[in-house]
Amino acid sequence: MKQAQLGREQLLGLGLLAPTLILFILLIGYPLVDSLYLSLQRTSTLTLASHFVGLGNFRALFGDPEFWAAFAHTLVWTAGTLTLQLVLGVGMALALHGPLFARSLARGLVLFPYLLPTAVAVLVWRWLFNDLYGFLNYALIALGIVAHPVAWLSRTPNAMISVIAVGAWKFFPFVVIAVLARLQSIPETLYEAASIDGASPLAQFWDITLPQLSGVLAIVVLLRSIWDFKEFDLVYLMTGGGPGTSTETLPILVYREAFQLLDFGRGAAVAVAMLAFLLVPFAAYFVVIRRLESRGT
Amino acid sequence: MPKTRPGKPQLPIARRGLLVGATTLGATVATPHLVRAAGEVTLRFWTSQGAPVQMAAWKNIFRRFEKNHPGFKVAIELYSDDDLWTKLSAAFAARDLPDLISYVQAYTVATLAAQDLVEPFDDVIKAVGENDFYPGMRDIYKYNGHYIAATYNNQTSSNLWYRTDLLSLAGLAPPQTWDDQLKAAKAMTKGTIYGNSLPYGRTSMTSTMMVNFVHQAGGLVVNPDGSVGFGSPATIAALEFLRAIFPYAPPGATNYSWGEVLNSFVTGRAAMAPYTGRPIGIIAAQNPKLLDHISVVAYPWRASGHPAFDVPFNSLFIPKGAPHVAAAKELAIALFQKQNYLEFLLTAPGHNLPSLKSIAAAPEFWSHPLIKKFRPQVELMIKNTAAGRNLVKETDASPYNLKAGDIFNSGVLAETLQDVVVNKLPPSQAAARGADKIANLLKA
Amino acid sequence: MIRTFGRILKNLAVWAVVLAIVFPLLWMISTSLKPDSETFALPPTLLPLHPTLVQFRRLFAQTPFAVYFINSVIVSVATTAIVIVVALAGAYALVRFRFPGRQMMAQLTLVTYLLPTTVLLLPLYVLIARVGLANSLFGLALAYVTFTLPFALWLLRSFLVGIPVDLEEAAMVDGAGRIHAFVEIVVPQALPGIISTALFSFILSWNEYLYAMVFINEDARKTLPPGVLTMLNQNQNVQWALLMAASVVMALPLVIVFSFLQGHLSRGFGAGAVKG
Repeated sequence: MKQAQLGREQLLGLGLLAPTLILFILLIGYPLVDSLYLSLQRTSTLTLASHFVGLGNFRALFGDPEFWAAFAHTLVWTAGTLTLQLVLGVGMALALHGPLFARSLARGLVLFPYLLPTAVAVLVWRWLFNDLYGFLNYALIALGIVAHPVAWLSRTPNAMISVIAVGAWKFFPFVVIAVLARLQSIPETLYEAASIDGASPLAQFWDITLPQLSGVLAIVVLLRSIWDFKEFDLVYLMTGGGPGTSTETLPILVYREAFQLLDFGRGAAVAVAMLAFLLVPFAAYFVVIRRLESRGT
Repeated sequence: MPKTRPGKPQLPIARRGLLVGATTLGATVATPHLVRAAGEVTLRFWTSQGAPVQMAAWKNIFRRFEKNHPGFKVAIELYSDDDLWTKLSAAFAARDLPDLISYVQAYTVATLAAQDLVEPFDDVIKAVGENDFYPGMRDIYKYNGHYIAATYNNQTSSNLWYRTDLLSLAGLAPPQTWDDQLKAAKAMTKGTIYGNSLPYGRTSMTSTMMVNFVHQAGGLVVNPDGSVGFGSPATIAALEFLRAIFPYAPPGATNYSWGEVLNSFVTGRAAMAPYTGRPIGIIAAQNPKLLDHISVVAYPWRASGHPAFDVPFNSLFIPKGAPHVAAAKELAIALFQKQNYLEFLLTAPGHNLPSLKSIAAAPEFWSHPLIKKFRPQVELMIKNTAAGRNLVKETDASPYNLKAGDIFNSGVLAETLQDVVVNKLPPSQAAARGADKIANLLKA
Repeated sequence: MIRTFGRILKNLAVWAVVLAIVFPLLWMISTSLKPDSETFALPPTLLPLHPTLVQFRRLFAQTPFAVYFINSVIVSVATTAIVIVVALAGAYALVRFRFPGRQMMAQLTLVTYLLPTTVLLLPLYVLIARVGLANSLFGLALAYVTFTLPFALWLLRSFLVGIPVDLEEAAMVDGAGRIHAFVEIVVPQALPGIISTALFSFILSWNEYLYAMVFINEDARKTLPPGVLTMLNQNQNVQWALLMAASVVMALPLVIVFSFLQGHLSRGFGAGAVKG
């Protein structure tokens, strides 16, 4: 009786998992493998006619200074925006955890940038940054902080800084949500005991809050670093990679190679290079998860 | 095609309702894209001209077509310059092509023709009237003995729009050479006004203007013998001029494309800007107090060069693999029919310039109030456009340059300018770099 | 006394930051209520001098915005529905059932995020077109499933892990079948997680630009992001006030709904993510 039930259980389990597996293999696995395959070809995006070139695309890529520049830009963009996201996110989560006037409203409002479609966020910021009619320039000049309109998006390094800042503004609520949830589950008793022992708020933060947050922060850092590294929409719609190529990140290079230079094989090769690089934080994620799981349950 | 709109489902909280809801939604939403009543055919028409007034014109034109061709419907699909290649590639890759594509520039058609991706268009040209076309605008699309497309209308951005009030305040005459223009830009830059607006971004307008500037300097991008002309002293002179006049452009110019350049002029912040006739319509609608203070001259040229006008030859063509070739040809012919043609041209009065001689002479064209008001300016722009060239065929002696599309899309022309004003490279070095890139493209 | 002062200062500081974050939304609303002439006025006005609804009227009367909005709703809801059903079933299977490869599958869910969307775009589009779903909202929803399903699976799995198995076992001892136990016991407990997953999927689908731009050609089927951006790129004078009106309509409904549900959002992420 138990044997039969076990077999039925297994089937049921696989049955429940089947749709997921099918979708994964069909919609994710196949395009992934196809892209890997195409990276080894010289493929015209227009006709998809291709001939095998082995590692030729990769060799050309690694010898191309534009590739390495794009790689550097991606690292700068990711590190910059991730740091800001964390600082802003943790700070805001702490502020929204404690007593605050109209706290619910504040929590809702702070989500706003994340809810906005990237296309809209870009429109609004480009309008704010506008060289002729943007409100930011007007405010800065009116307050006497600058004498001439600032070229937010049309000079280096302004463009990269602006993009990093807008990226932080757009995605930091993700950090807030995660950290706030964790903060709400830290038992009050820990803090009470520390207060009785005379610990300062700063000491409480370092010794109690931060360690408790380490788990969720690790996950947030890993997820956001992968997603920020891959981000195409925001950077492309804000600057198109310009001025010059100063904000051209790897995802934008993929798009350029595939859809403007019509060399799909090279675009795929850049993508594969990105994947190889992202395996690093991913491996780190595994190590951290394993350590957390062995420590937790 | 029935457009079903399911009532917005509740958030999937109901347990059994979950599965039912999902499948219903999936079914209503999965209308395969060509389900039609039996016998009815839908022609897919691509265009980049989707402003409200133009959409209204397209709808009228297509309604007339549908009445004259029962059993056919026309669906409009919009693209923008930036996503054209992406969508075109995806369409060819998936073998899911529209029937008629409009407003694509000559060098793009050339790239497609080189890969044999365009249907012959002789029937359309003959039906419309082979001799009614301006010869230049007709023959630009002659390839291997066939016509592969038709010029639907034309423009040239090699016109300089300027503010008559600001220029006379500075005591200057309309500029003819680059030196005149530099002087005027300097004199008119004061207060909140910038003397000269130009695109310096890595955009299609910059690339278009660069072709103009190289020609106006007396040079060529590709020589008739197929060698690269881009590294010549003419190009270097053009870059030096553009660098010299850069300080008088709005601060955001290094990101400017069509919309931004136009905006700077029509809102009155720039004293000079290149464009075809669009400023007329837009200023009339959005900033009418400027309407009496604008005029246009041919875009200035290098003193030792000559006037030059790059034109797009906005095309109509049928991609190879289109599902309804014969019907698409009928649609194209209908677009040239007088009533339809005029209706569309006049959606941007003075900006869409006709490719048919009969229409250019038609009193209905000239009786539009704005065109009437700006008659001399429109006549000048038509004259300039008729002398226009495209990267595809830079001189009469040049062969059809099938790599023109690659050169344009690679962005090398705009990149070279950006090298000078953003990366601060000396013009000679930037021009050499650009020439190298073009040489590689020609070889590939 | 000092403590109250300190608390007031803290409140002010935090609210100043919140308002700075929200300022673009306010500026967006302000611009959307201006007539075109005031949009390009110098100096720019913080509050509209002549507030008007003309931009919104133009938006709905002269542009296909309403159609784009409906399409976005359809695609986002369809994606969310598919993802919830599939991910919930899959997560439950990974958590409650034993079969070979279970651990590995759980850990590999996020690998799929490593390849950038720009490259998956073309093979995926070719695939979707071959089954006749090019230029269809359902095809787009399937494409969206590719990048919402992994995260949904990961999120729901981590949430389900935190639900003790005792209640289900008790119900099954009482004679309830597995499915019944799942529906009556697990789902209500997992509700915060389900709602969080639904909200995340909806947001990701609602916001997406690149796939929507490529997969959908027909104007009547376009979703909001590419639709509104095409309005920007019409090679004409950029009509900022109209675009801001479009932005307001795209943003406000989400903001209002999610302000009410944001409690669920945190709870959903919290319990699951902690246990990893």
